[in-house]
Amino acid sequence: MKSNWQKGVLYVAVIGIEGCWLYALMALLNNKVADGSLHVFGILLLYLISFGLNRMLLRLRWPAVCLRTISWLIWVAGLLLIVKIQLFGGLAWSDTTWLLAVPRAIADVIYTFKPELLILISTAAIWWLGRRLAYLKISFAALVSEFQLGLFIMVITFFIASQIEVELAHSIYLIVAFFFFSLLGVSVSHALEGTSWLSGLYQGHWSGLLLVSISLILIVGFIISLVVTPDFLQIILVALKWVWGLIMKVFAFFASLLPEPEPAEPPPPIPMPEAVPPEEFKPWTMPEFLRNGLRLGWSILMAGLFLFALWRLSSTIFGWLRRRLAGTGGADYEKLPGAFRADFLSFLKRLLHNLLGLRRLFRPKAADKPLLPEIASIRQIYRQFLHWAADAGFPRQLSQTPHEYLYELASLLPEAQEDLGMITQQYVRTRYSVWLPTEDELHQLKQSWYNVKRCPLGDRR
Amino acid sequence: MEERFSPQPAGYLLGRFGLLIVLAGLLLAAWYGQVILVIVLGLVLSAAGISKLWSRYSLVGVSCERWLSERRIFPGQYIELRLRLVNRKLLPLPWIQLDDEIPTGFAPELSLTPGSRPGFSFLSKAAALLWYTGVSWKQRLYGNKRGYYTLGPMTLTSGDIFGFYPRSITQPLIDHVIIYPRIFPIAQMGIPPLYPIGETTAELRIFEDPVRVIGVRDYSPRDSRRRIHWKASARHQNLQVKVFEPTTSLNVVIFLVIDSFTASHGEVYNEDDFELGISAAASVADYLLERRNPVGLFANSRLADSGQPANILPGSSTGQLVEILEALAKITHTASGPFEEFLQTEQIGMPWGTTFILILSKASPSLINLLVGMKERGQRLMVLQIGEPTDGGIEHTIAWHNIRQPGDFSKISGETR
Repeated sequence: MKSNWQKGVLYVAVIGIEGCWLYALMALLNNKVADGSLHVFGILLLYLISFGLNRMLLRLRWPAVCLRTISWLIWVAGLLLIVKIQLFGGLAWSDTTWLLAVPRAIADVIYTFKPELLILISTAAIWWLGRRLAYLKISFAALVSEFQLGLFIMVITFFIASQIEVELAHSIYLIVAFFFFSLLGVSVSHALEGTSWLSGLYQGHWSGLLLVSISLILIVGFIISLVVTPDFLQIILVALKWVWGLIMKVFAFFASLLPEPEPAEPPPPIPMPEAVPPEEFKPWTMPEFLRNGLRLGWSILMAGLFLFALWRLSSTIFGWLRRRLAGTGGADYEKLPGAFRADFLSFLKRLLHNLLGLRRLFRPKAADKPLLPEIASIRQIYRQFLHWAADAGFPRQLSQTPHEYLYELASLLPEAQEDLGMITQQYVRTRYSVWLPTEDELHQLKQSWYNVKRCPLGDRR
Repeated sequence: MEERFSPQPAGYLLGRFGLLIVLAGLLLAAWYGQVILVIVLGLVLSAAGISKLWSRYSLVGVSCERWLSERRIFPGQYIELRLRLVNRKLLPLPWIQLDDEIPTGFAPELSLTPGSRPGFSFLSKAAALLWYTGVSWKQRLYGNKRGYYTLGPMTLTSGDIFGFYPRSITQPLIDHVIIYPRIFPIAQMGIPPLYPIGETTAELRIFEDPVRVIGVRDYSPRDSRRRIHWKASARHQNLQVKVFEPTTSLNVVIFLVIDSFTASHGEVYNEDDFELGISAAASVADYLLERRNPVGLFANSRLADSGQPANILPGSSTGQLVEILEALAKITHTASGPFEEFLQTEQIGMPWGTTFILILSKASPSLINLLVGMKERGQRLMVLQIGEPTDGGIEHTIAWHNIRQPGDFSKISGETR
């Protein structure tokens, strides 16, 4: 039951995707071939009929040839019906003119492209698509392909329409519907291919989140289309020109540093009478850019509130619908109480620390205590050792003490256990006590580090 | 070190090249004032941008851990494995897949996908995680075959809600599981005693004289604190323990002749015999240690973890059996070198009177010569031959037992020569 519902969503998504681009294409052809006389929705109904009928035929388990023949016979009947209703609506059913309209249109194809031919080709394509969908096993890859193909056809259609100056009705709705069905279908199909939000807990939350994501994409897409205008591009172009001019000026400045022949003296400027500006009172008005910025901020705030409300509403509805169907698949879910608060406090602390750090920047720095050369040398070796182990795939974790880290590495490199122990011991002694190594010990440490470096730690991964 | 990688995005359009074309198309359409085309292409960029951003941050703040109920088991037992994933951030994860690489055969009831290395499979778990939530799974892992096994690394894959941009991270989370060899009961075993007068019937065969200190050595965690030589420790700046003179000792050393089980190119003649040989070593060690006899183990094999041969000096402490069983679990088919050389090197440090128990499969002429030489030098020997018996001509002079199946262990009896 649950699976059928999810598959149903996928079929609806594919029908939606294909319906959108078919409608756009048909609307264009209708405008060009039949002067908009055909009813595109009526023709598209055949797509649903084809899908439904072929799904039913599929259940009969008859031979494939039989099913194909029956399917295409039904298409012929549908074709004639559409021709009769859309082109010969006023004619009596007994008049056979409408029956011969299609063969006649085929015969006249070299002279003219009649609407009957458009109906013939479009219904054949639509019928084939409906039949294909009935047999199609919908997967994530199939839906992504549908999305890409549909997008390509839509872009081409809108481009041609703009070139031949045909106004396609409901284009914006069509685009929104296409993206809605595409994103919904892609998401659900991806979720069905593995264990994910559709088969776990909190399905209501996830469904709401999906709707919010799609809405966000649509809003951002529209904002992009509002922002990217010819004027905007002009501004960018001007800015680019200004930057280019600046670069050229810099080049000119450097070029001017080179010696060149002295130019002839320019003539003295003609004295001009100084113009006195008239005094007038100017009231303060909000600059245009500030007003635009505030308007944009207000819009974003409103959109955010709208999305939040949409998410809450939809998650509640979906949660109520799906509560009983949730299955966990052997997984135990847990909440992390206090984790958000801890992270938030940690964030505030970091913020405060950074602010204090900024303040420290303005203070005179205390001179750093120089380390003794022996200690600096040991620390340097230990740092190199840490880098070496991290590069080999075994970095020291923040929670590990030097000895715990030593234990981990020694289990991987038993042959170098002694050298590893030497490096760690020396480091711990100098780091956490006031111990100073002797010349011999330093030499020994360097030898140990040399030995360790030669061990193939990377191979033990 | 964590390794991050982004698999190919779903569809060519959402790849870098496709998006560049879309961007170029958008700018051209905007330049020529084609509003509808700008909307379509703007929506594509919006979908790609939001998905990519979601995917980019999907694995931030995600941690995974593996918990094992046991790390050492006997064949036939199982380990409870618990995998836990935590999403510690506000961004939810609509899907996340965890692939833990485990040895093939550890989870026989599951159909696993082949792993990245031969002999390994991926144990895959998937879930959807909201903000500040975690999920855990339990799985039983069955150990049926002796060995030293590695679990991990773990690969996490997640992404946006549409699945456009998957993103993966491999975490070097490695754990090791040791499956000990099988131990078969041995009814009675005639071990050559140290002194010809005869072996004592006492349970404990080692007696050290606490007044006869013959030296000091480095402290090891198994030593009693009463043995610590404080003055020597102070002098050495390192803990030292006293070594007492033994008054009575019966040292048994088990030698596993790895190259007698393998052909010249390193392939095992018979896998079952090889495992039986290892089980024989384990069973003998268990039998002797139960009676508090010091037992050591030597094997000319490259151990699975270190690549070095196994050499455990005789001891009878409580941890000795565990140490021997662990070494036996790590034994591989690969010989570290010819056994004859290995034996000659290792027996140098053995005290006089040590009893050698050799476990082998096919005795080569050179090995037989070596055994004859040892026998002639008066060393105590016992041979456990695994598999079909061979006629080397020395079976009557050396204590020689043939083991073809686990049931034969109960037949090892009688005094050795």
